[in-house]
Amino acid sequence: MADHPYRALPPKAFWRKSVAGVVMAEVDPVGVFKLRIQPETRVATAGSCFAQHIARHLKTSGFRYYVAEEGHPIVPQAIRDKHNYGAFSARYGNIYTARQLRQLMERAYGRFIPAEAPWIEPDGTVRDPFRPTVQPGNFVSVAEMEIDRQQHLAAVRAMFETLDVFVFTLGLTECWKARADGAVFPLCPGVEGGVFDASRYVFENQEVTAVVADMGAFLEALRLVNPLAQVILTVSPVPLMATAAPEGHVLSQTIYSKSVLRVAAQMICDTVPGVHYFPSYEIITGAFNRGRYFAEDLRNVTEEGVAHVMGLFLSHAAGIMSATPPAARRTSQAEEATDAFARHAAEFVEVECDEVALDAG
Amino acid sequence: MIVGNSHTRMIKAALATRAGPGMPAGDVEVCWLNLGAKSHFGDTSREDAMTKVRSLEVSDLLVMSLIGTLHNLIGLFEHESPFSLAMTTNDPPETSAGRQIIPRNVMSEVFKDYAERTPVFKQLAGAARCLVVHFCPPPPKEGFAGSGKSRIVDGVAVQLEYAPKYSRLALWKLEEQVVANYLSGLNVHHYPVPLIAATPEGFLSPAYHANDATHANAAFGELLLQDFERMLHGLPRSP
Repeated sequence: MADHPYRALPPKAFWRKSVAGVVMAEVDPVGVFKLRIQPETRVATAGSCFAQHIARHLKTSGFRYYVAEEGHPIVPQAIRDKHNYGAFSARYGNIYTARQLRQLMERAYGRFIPAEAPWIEPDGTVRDPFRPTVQPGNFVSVAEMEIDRQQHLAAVRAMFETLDVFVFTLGLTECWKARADGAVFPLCPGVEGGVFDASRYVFENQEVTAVVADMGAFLEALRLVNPLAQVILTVSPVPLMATAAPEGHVLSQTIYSKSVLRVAAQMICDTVPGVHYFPSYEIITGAFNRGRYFAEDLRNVTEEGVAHVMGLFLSHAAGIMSATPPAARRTSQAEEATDAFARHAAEFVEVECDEVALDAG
Repeated sequence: MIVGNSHTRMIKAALATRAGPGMPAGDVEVCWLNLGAKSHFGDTSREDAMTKVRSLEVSDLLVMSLIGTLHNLIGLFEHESPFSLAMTTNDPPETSAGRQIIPRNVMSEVFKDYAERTPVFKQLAGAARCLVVHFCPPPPKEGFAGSGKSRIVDGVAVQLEYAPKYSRLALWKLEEQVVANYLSGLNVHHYPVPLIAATPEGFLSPAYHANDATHANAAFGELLLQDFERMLHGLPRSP
């Protein structure tokens, strides 16, 4: 039999041996993951709604989930949670696009001051256009919003300067930006605050080069303030709630968007030292699970899927090995810990996705 | 019947010093509620208070002062991580340098949560057949004799500094507002501080200061008593 390059490849290189022929919970598409985190490693997170799951698991897995904006200690933890302190490492809410992340860094260091004025609601309350859903009930005045934003951006600076590992989940390519200065918003103005005005706002669907450029600018800025920072990129498996792409179908645009992000992530990891890709997108969307990792709405990710992702993450990044895969371990514990399951279910519900507002009619 | 926390003492003091026309002291019962084994204060158990409240006639008046005290617990003294609320157009400029500003909607929820975690209040109010009124602690004092207080914490002497006056005032105002909203959902009337007892900025007028940091004196208690009497007779309250 003739020899050829495939003969020497490990099982993970073959679909049958590593995907189709493997028990679902044991599929491991990670490959080589060079980054190691220790219990004392400060891990910060940002990104789309899927990143909230990562944050939640890090909090409960014995690792040092780094929260630079915790809220004041006189506020009970449950109320801080409700007001989005700790949902991510700072109270920036969901960061869906690479452009948003780049501009967050630029805003934090005063290199970009968007012209967009605070959004005033009909009841007089005030939203921060760059995190419009972060404060339940909104801010009571422009002054309060501006003070809170200053505190928030100070926390963002502290976070970038002192984190060890930054986990960023790329969520979307579609975004709305101000025509005046290119400032991008997490949500289209008018959806959750603000008033849509086509003469002021314009839609952009980022291409690969744009995502790579934005991430490159962010990473360069991060290196300047924290040369040792390591970065983990993931792509959110959560489909678009809606697309604004002209004549686009939401399914096609979802595939396009995720494909762009996946390619961009690979290009960045291949060229920028200290950046690592973790395949949570593949774990959730891979055919091996036959759609089981998506909830009934075919959009939200089930706790079983998140557990699979985080089990592999902790295994590869922290060397935490488990006798049983995370998903199977959950199943075996479920019968004897009904309240724990209910707690997890509640936590699942807690992961709120701003994008839901797009489909609110 | 007047039942509540330590802020009922000023009414008891007013009754004790009362001179001239007014309701005979025998028609007013003041109960300082003892809320359980951990509390060293109070003269009336929860069970006794409940029995007394249940015995009130429809024509009686139940006055309570049980909630609205958190601003003092968290804000009378400067926290090791100083904090305050952001100014509004109605408040004087707050010194925000070096202190964390907590959004009002966050702090409102803290106050609301605290009110809801005082079940005895709802139990007593729900047991009454008569009109129920609640008054909050008096507004903060603008200044104090010293800069703070010394306390023994875990056997160690600790000097606690008073928080800045506008921070204390802002917290009191917000908690009173939250309590008023909370009471409206329980069909309990909120009794706001008589204007005459406050300075133009909203602090407790010096004429009504008790000799500690948080309480009002018998003169303030007398103001309240007179208003409660008017309520019983269907008359409007004093300004």
